[in-house]
Amino acid sequence: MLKEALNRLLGRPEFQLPLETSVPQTVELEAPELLCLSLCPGGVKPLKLAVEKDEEVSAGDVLARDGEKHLLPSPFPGTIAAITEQPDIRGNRKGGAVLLRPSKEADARAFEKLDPEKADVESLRKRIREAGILSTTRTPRPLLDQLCPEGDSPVETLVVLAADRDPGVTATLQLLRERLADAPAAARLLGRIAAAGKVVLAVLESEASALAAGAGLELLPLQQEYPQTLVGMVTRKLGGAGTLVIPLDSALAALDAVRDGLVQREKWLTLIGPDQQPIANYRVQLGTPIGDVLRHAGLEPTDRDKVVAGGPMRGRAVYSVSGAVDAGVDALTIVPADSFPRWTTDPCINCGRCIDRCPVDLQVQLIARYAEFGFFDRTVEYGIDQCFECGLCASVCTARRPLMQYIRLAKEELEASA
Amino acid sequence: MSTQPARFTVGAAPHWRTNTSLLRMNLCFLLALLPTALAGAVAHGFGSRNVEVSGALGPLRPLLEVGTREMGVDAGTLWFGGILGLIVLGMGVGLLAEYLCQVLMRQPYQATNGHGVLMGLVMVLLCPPGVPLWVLVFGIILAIFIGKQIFGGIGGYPMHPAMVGWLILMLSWPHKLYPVGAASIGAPNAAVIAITAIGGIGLCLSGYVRWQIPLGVLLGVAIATPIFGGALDGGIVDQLFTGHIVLMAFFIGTDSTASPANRLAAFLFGLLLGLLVMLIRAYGVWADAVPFAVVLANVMNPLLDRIRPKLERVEVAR
Repeated sequence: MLKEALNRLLGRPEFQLPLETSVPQTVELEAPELLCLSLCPGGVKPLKLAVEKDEEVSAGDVLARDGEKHLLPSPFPGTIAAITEQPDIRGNRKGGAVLLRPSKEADARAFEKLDPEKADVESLRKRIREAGILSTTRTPRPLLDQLCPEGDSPVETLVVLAADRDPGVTATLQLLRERLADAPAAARLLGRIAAAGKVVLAVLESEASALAAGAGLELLPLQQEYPQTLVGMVTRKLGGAGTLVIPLDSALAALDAVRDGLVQREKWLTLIGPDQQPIANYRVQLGTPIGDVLRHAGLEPTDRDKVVAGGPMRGRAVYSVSGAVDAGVDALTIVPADSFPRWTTDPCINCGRCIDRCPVDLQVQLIARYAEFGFFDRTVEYGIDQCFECGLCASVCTARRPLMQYIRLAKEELEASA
Repeated sequence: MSTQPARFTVGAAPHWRTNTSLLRMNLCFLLALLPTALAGAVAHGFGSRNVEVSGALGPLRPLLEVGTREMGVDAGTLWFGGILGLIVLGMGVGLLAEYLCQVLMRQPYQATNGHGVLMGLVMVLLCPPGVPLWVLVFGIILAIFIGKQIFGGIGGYPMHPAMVGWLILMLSWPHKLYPVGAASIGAPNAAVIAITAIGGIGLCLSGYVRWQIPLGVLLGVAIATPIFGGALDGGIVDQLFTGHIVLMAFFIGTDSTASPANRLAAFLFGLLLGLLVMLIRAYGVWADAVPFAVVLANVMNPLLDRIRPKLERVEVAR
């Protein structure tokens, strides 16, 4: 109690973010009346619509496409209820969305079954394409583009990341424990497709004992501490270039598409409540508005609260609860108004807490100062490209400077001037 | 219930953070210094300022004596009843000076972060109890103005503001600060210095200062004392328990703006501070070596901060 009182009076410079190793209660949410499927997953290039309003579709039918590169298959048989301008959960308005009314007697099978061990690689690749599997390490991108990149930079080490990235989130852990036997199979499948020299399954230390590596697969135990499980961190550990990290849910979706002929349509997500504790893990259908999840949990965020699509350290605050869950969302975080102090424009006092916490040993205080005053070129000398935006610097800054925002600003400016 | 959808706050990640702030950091410093201030006041006897107190008012005397003679009270006692009054005065002047500077210089108001108050307290602790009030007030104003606000306030100054103010006083009115046989408020005897050390360790535990700096200072003193032993009285313990070395190690050298941010650099900074203070104490002509050592080490800070962990560049595919 004394400690709590002292923390309230004097602040809490220590800011440890252990990753959760126990899952909260689970809730399976039924599919809503209408599923909202974004026509621009990832927000880069809008897909071209391939269906019309009121058209009947069956599972696996192409709803939209970008040539042969990127297909959006229907996760359910059903009817196209509408084609809207609705922005996706990241607020991206490009492309709009398809509203699909799933039929009740939903047959999930969309494709023929293939044998992940024996089928030839070309047909496996084709299947990944037509199943529209996305890799969701940052923004959703077609998985196959990552596994088989164009040009001469093949994947040497393929990592399937079977650990949650943000503190409090256990969506991936839930999935891993549920499908313990499938995780290595999925990793091997992706390794085959990418023709990777080395296939690694990265898991939390607590889960490593439950998994057997087996032939052609290495286990990489990760510390149970944010940001050890971030893609950037794992990539650094394995030597950088030539390393590709794919999250477990994408890998399992690929396995399901190949082995069982399914289109990915479910997603676990962790709901983190206003008291910074996980409330429950929800199994939702992709395309479910996040408002449905909040309503089920009895949460009603009001004015000035934050609703974050994603975890508390890297998620994106949304302005509306009508956005639909897509493959890139693994958590919902509610941050009540005034529960955390605001950013300030105070000058840096050189206390060094950001340096202490930077997992890459960047001179964050210098980078942020250069960025603040527009010397973006100087930030390159200090290795701004090595930053993978874990946000720890900003979360511990004594002067409450928006360090992460300064770094992102510098990155944007550098990209724009390149 | 309104039908209007709720208007959420949007903003970039991270969405969780610590509740630290500059105010809380300075509050930590002040709380950790409080026992020293109280113990210093006790050690000097709270009211010992009554002697010659009115004389200490200096040019302010006629103004402050209005009406006090009729009341039969000493003006100094009335206005600044002893050492505790001096401490409160110092902190108040620090706050006010910072606020006025920010008004006059049209800088954003930051006086509420408590740094000016801390500077005032540090100045008072370095002064002997018989310091003329006008010298103290003038010193604090100089510390805040020349030491700090001219460089843009907190985060901008190259040298510890209180040390700058203190140096100006020391070089200008040495006889006012060091009447024969007077010890300062903050370090009158070994017991008070021990209390300072305990407060300092508490400050380190709070996490707001780099513990590498006090460690470096103590180590520096331990190394330098045998080397300069011929010119010093007493051994390492005697050196630590006289003067302001402990106060400097925990509360002055650790001022984050003027000390390095990197861990190794912070340790070297402390070491340099410890060596310098013993060198100056052994061969300097001034009674107090601390301000010179701190200011010299502070100007080395940008150089020291170049000693940083080597950046391991890894090619990361985007």
